[in-house]
Amino acid sequence: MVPGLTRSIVSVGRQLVVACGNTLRGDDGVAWRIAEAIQKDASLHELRVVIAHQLTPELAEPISGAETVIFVDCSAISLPGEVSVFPVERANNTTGSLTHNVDPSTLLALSQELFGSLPRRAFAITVGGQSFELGERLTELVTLAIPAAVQAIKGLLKNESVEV
Amino acid sequence: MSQTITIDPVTRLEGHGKITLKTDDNGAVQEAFFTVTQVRGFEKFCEGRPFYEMPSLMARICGICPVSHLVASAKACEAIMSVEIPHTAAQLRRMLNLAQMVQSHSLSFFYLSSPDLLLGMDADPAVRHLFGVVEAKPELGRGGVRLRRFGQHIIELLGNKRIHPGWVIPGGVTEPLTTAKRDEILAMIPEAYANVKYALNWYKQIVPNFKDEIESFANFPSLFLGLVNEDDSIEFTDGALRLIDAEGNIVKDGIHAAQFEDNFGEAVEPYSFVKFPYYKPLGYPEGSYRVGPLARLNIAKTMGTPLADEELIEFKKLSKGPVLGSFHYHYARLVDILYGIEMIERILTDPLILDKHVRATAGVNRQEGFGVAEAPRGTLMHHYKVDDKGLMLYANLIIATGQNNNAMNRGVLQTAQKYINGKKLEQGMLNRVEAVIRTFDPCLSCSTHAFGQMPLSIELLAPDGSRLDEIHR
Repeated sequence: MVPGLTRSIVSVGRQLVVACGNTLRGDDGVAWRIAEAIQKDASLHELRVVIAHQLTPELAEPISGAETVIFVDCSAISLPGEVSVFPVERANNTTGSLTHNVDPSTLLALSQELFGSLPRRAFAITVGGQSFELGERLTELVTLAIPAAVQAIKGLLKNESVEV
Repeated sequence: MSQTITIDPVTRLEGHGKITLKTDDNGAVQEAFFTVTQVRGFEKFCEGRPFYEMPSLMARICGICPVSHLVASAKACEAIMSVEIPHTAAQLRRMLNLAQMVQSHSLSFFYLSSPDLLLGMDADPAVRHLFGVVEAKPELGRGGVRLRRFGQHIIELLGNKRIHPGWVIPGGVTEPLTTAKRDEILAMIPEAYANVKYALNWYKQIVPNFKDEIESFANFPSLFLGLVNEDDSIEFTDGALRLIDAEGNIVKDGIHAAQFEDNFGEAVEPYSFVKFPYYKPLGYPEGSYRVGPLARLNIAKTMGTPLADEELIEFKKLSKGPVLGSFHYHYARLVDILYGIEMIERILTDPLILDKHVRATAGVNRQEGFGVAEAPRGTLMHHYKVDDKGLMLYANLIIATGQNNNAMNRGVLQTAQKYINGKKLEQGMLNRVEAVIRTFDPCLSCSTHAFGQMPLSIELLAPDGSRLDEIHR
């Protein structure tokens, strides 16, 4: 457990983490590893974690019931191992077929349109990837970034300003 | 001057493809080709692997219908093992296969096709998508999302994973059903009924708006193939294959998996990696046939469940013989969903469904095995050969989308000839050409297997082969 972090401090009643990526494409699977790490964290036992290959419209329902949602993914454009935190806002305009893959902003819009509510707070946490070749192993830089990403999630759940 | 039209990519399909239309000097469409240029390497790279790995390996062919591959593959492996799986395992696999059908059909009907059905074929492509449906008719969009979630969640509960569950293995399944999971699924069923009934009622109200499309969307005589039980009821996991003609006469009945290759061959056309299966006694292309929801409802005399049977009676009123218009795949898909929910409920009330005996074990007792199941899109066949140690020597997969390949090509030509004026391309025309393919809900990833991404286009070519126009999505 992180020093100073107690279960009472981390309020996780309606908090949701959505981790997505492909574990067969190297660093693209980092979100799954981050999700596994937070699932093992006893201080976050009430946190709801959804792990997926892609963001799909069905996720709108659990998102609509959350107070805070944090999307976790690998970034192909950030520096390898770089952890970034962004606020996510509901999309105003949506285009495309919205079938297999949607982005976090569109999912927020879909949760509002379909289920009548959306989270009060929404964030995306990304980890810059280095290799997306076939394989289940993460590169060293990306592996080393996992604790920082977990810490960033905990900070957001505690409603803290997060610096990474 | 004659020309060639290319639609590239064809949108709202599973996978990616391209349509090429050739016109004559007057702009009338003379030829149409639905091209899939992806390559599947699965048959080749599984050689040398132990046969019992095949279900898990073959399921990776597709993220939409992996369960069908799991089931067909496991059955081929069980033929090699010469075992009969326990009753409870067979029931659990049947439920898993039906759950996948429900989620896959929901994706096809609500996500991919309902934008055309609700907003119209001529609607602006910028709004003709699921979000447009959600805004125009939220109950329909929400029902579709919830129905898909219903199927996915059953797969997740049974297989512990929504995609590529490893629960189905040669000999049965890895673990029995728990009381808690059974009760959780049963609790979801009333809402699933409500959602599919809503969709059926809505569909029946709007279908009169599509008379032209019904007439021209791959509406022609053909053979139909699908699984049925001995009592003539529809079947997805066991049973035997039945082939009927366009008048409803049985051409061949009781075709078991091991007889598949004796009865069906695969032709090759130079413009596509998807093969063209056909019934051997009639040759190619006369022996081409259709599979999937439309074929299943044409072949079966009963669904075997009360609510779906009411719908089947109504469906069969569409025609004196088999329903030939492929637009009605949409309707058949909804009836399939209703049947799936009823059967899942029935399976869960089987007194033996919580039995702990769910797996048979054996080694190699035959060196060849066939497995057939109904995937959401139609009949799926896996054929394996192994050596004495059970290492794979050969694999062949005949996929539902491939079996509809000839009909899709004929359908594109029929629709293009009605709607395309070669001198000018308009979105509504092109969308109808795409929409005829969408009625079949092809899974191009399955039929060839995707390697990378190939978008689909419509291309307009002159008789001399020069490209006159092209649209990319």
